[in-house]
Amino acid sequence: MSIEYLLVVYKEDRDVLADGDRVGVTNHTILLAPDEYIITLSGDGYAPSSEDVVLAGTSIMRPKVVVFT
Amino acid sequence: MIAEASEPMTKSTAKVTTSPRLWREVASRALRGFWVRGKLATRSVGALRLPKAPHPHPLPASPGERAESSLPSRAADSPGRARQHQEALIHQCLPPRIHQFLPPRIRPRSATRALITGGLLALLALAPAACETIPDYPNRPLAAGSSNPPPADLIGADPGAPLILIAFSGGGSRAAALGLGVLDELAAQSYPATGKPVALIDRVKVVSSVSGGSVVAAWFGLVGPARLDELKSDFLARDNMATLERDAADPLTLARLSFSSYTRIDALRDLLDRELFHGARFADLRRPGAPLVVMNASDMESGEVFAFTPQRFDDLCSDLDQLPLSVAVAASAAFPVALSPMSLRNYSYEECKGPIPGGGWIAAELTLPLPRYINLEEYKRARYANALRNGKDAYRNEHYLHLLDGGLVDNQGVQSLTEVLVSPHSPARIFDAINTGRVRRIVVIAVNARSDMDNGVGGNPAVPGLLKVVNTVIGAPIDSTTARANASLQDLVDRLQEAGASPVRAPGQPLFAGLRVYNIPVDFDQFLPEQRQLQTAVKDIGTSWNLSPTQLQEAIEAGRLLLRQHPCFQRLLLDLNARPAPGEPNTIRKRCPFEDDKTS
Repeated sequence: MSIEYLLVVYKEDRDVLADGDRVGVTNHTILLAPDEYIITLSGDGYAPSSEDVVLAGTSIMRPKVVVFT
Repeated sequence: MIAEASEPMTKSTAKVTTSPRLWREVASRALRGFWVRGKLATRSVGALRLPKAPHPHPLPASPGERAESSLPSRAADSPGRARQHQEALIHQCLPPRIHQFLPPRIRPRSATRALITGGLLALLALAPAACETIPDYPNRPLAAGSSNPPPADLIGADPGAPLILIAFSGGGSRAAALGLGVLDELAAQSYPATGKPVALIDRVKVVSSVSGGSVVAAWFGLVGPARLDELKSDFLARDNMATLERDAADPLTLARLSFSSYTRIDALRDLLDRELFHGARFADLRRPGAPLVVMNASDMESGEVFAFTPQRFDDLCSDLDQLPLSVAVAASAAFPVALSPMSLRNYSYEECKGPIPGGGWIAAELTLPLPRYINLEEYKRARYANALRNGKDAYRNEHYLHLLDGGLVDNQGVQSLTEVLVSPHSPARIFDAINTGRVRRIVVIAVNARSDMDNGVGGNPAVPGLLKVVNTVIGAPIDSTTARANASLQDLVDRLQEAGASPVRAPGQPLFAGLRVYNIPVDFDQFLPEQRQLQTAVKDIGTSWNLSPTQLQEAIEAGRLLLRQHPCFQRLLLDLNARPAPGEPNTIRKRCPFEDDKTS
């Protein structure tokens, strides 16, 4: 089983949710099983409201980067 | 199958007679469903007869005993010797996986009386075995609008404290005793922490188990380290097979099997409750510091692993807390044909009030376009959960769950362990803890109690009989599936190790940098050459609910020894500054290296 790397960027520290479950925090790379996820943040006031992320083929040096504003 | 003690056998006569005790035992086993249908029963019993020709693979002969015949006339020289010989013949003729259904002692009597008695009993026995019974479902629905409470926090406040996950394989009492030995060793080792030493056993936070492993898993979850040893006196040291046989031969049991909802798996459940669990329920596992116990069975309808977890019982809209532990252990150990399946009712199809929580990931897996291509296993898990929940477009109907031995799908319990470890949807939240730097040491101990008895096929020029073929058909896939699951776990550990070796200053400043995962498989093949005697002894323990005092001691000692001498367990002790030190540090580091050794 491989492991994928995700970096969710946001202006402040928030919990990162994958399909509604907390998996890490913003601005720090996260390990996740390969899959397609709906990524959201805890709280509100960010955009877009969710991101459909395909996690495959990443590495620690080249994580999948998702930016919320 | 059994030679009459009063009629010494010779090669030339070799007419095999039967003992009534044996036939009663056959009937008793048929009672518990070893032979399901009349036709098969006849053939199977017939297969028990010894061949008329000299056996090409004679039993190991004592010095001076002729080896050319498997039926030496001196077999009846003394009652004890005759009995030994008869038992040896049985063990030779029947495959190891079937030994669990053999009687501990067999005494020859009149063959005619035996046939009549046995035949009648077998007839009685086969009737309920062949019929379908509507059982009393042991699980209850959830209260309206509620869900099963998730496990308590497993991580703790100290990131440096090891988080230990264990998988206990199947293998009857042999597996339970081996697991007990592993837990004993964890109890004996401690490391310095703030304030006072912490025993490693107190850091066991997840236990996944199958069949015999579920006995020790459930017991440990229920009582913790303090009363762990009672498992020996209350269960492992007892002749549970004799108890089951007595129960099976009880006319009341016969009547219940024939005319009530009582099924053969209920006999094992009742035994477990009477001897060990005394009606304890899953709610009783919620003691402070208790691990998450995940007992695994196989779902007959889907072929999926069915884990007794809060999440899975949410899918069934059923209250896990109220379920007796003995039900889960018995389901996990419901060896096919010998025992009937354990049946549960799925309340999602009829009585569930309100939406079932925790379905976000299921909807995402099933509606997004790519999960089935990127992570097929996770997609299938979601599809299964959706079916259990009676969700939209469910791929199959599961109004009732009929569960068999977890070993049919994963005899190591590794699949559930992996799911707990890496699934973002697991209530254990371990990945979340890794990603936020709240856990830095993960220890995965997979205990495999696979026996490796010589079944005599390789040394026998004759074409193997039906039972030996059946044994291979059952055993070989289980062993290969277990090997694949272990390889998959090793692969996952390797990936996590790579991640843990990431530089702190890598893009995104990973909080998991420095993570160490200690992969510690425990297997009878790991004995050192000088431990061959113990290795042979434990590998030869049959799969049964009965151990001799010596076997019990040996299996426990094997668990302790195999864990203690594992290089990565020694590395864990070294990294935790355990006292006394497990050995010379550089040697230990070389035997279980981590990528960041050079820089640390």
